[in-house]
Amino acid sequence: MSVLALVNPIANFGALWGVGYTMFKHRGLVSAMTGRELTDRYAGQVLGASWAFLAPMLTMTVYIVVFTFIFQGRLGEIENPAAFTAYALSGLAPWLTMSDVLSRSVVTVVSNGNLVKQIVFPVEVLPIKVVFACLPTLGIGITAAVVAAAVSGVMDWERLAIYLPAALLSFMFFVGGLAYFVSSFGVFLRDLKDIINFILGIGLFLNPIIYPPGGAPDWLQTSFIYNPIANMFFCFHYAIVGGVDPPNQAWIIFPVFSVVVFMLGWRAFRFLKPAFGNVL
Amino acid sequence: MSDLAIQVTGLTKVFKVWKRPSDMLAETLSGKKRHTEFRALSNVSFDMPKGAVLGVLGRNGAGKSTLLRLVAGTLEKTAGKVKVNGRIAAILELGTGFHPDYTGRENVVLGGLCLGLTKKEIARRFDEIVDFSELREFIDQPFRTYSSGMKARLTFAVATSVDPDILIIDEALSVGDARFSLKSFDRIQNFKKRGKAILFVSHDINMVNTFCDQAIMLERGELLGAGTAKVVGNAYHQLLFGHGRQLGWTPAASEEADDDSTATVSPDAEVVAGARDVTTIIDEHSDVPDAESAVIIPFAGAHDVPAARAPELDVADGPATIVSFMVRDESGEPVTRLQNLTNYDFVVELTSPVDVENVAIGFTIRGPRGIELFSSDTVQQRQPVLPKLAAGEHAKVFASFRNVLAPGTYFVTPFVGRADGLKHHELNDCLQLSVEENPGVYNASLVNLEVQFRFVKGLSKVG
Repeated sequence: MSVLALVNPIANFGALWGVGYTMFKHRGLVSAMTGRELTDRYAGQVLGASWAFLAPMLTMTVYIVVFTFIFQGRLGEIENPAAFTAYALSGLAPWLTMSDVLSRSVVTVVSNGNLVKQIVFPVEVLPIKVVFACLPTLGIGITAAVVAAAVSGVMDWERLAIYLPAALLSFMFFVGGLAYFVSSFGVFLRDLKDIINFILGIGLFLNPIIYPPGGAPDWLQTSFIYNPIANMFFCFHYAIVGGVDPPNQAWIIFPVFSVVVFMLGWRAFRFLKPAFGNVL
Repeated sequence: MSDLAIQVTGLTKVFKVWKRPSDMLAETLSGKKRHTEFRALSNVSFDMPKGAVLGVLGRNGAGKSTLLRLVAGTLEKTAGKVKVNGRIAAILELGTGFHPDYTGRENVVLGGLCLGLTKKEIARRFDEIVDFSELREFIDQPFRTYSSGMKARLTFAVATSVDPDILIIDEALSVGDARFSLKSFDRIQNFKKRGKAILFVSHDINMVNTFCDQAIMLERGELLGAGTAKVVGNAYHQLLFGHGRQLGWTPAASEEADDDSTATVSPDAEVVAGARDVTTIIDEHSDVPDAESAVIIPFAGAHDVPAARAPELDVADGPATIVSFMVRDESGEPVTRLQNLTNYDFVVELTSPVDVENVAIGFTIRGPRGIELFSSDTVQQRQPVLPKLAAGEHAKVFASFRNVLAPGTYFVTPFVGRADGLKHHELNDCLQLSVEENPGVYNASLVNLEVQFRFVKGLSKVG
């Protein structure tokens, strides 16, 4: 693929069509496989599929307790533990969801190798079901963040109604593209799952997720401007908690970056898909 | 194209073998070669009309599954064309898309979705699937508790319920019991009647004979022959157990086999095999006798020594030696697949470096589990022995027999000895014969006694 092919608008917008078509045509399969992805993890356990919701709820509860009572962090000038909790949760919800999507999609094609190899199966469904299966984490995390923001009194419902859907929509494109990228490269580069774990390990600290950007050293603050992932957190923080350095540029960088990741991710997947059979 | 379901032209698949999957990425990025090549299919062409059941025969590693995956589109081809006309469903492996922890019911739904059905279609066909698989009482049990036969039944029922235009079946039926095979057979016939095409892969000749009209045979990725299932089945049998054109046992052939088997170890073996041009297409409507057409197919590759052959059990105590050994049918053609209740000759060729007198010839026939079914020689049968074999002289001994062996696989041991019973030379289980399926006797029978039934009314005694 030459550089020109990368920016080919027909191919890039074809990605939107491609994913939409896959989701519609195989909607039964997508929903069944999403359910399976959710329940497979907890198959044979007493509480079964309830864990799919219970696990992120427990995680969020732990974070709420930690940030409200242990860290009691300060958010700019506001010394309000509840506001800080809302801030941390609104960063953690997309972060944990993204981690979940990355670590699951990197193995999804390989672990469904028999489907890919043995039957005429729409492989494009696999990254989609991974993303859908991670939505409970996102939903519960965002709900917890919104509740915390409402409790702390920093909530502006009008702002939330406009910016949260925008952030969530961009986020869906972003993780969808990531899932397509990672699931197709993961077939050939099996180390990718460990690389991803490493990146996720340091990513939590290199991005303004649980700390306000103003508290970071200057070099890191500079990197936030150019780091699209940091801009994603700016968007979520702004939508739910509001103005800690209102990041105007974030609302351009993050959505554009998400759509680009989505398009290129889909195209990379389609480009590599015919070769899956050779290494599975 | 409109009446063809599948058209395969010059299909070639070369697997690039990387030591690690990441080497593939490294090669793409650096352009430096990091793989070895393995030619799994080379230049395979065949047409498959709608309403045909085509058998694909071949030994393990012959390229059968590669061919199926290329036709099904789950594998990328290296060269050639595959034209597929219609919706494909493939049963390439038992229980694909089935999760062991889920119940049969859940798996039917998920399996159907994986094969491209919608939820509504599955709901509509659910009862039919369950009835066909005869698993109604087990349908809410986890899939892992099923026996392999039950798994096969459910898999087959789901895959065929998709009602594809082209159905690909890879060995999946071989684990079902006879009754289910029969049911599957009916369903396949029904498919055929409706103009659907079925690609059936097996290494079981009897299955292919039962299910297919036409067959192709693959060996080391090459199309060795195509024709009616029966003709190709015979040829395949000879590929497995025959020894070259001789279709009998000769020391030379078995040495050749040894040579070839060492050649396979060398890395270039596949490439060498690929360079040979041995494809012969037998006219599908030819009326030539089977044995004759079978011989047309050239065998340039290695030949398996029969599995039961144990040369260390051979006896070589006397001067007289067996040079070759075969079975011929009434037209004089060497065969290894026999018909039940038909006449054949054993042909033994003898020689000796010194003069020997009173040479007796005999055979032992063993069943597949080593049971001795028949063992006799000229002395036991009170028939004349060969009075004298001069030094360097070759003699051929013909022993005619009527084949009363029931369908199955048998091993023949020829021996030459003296009139007093001491053996000169014996070749243990050197020839494998198989007797074709014959409805006259039940499956477990070893012989067919040609029983004639007569009924006399009103009498309890047969008279």
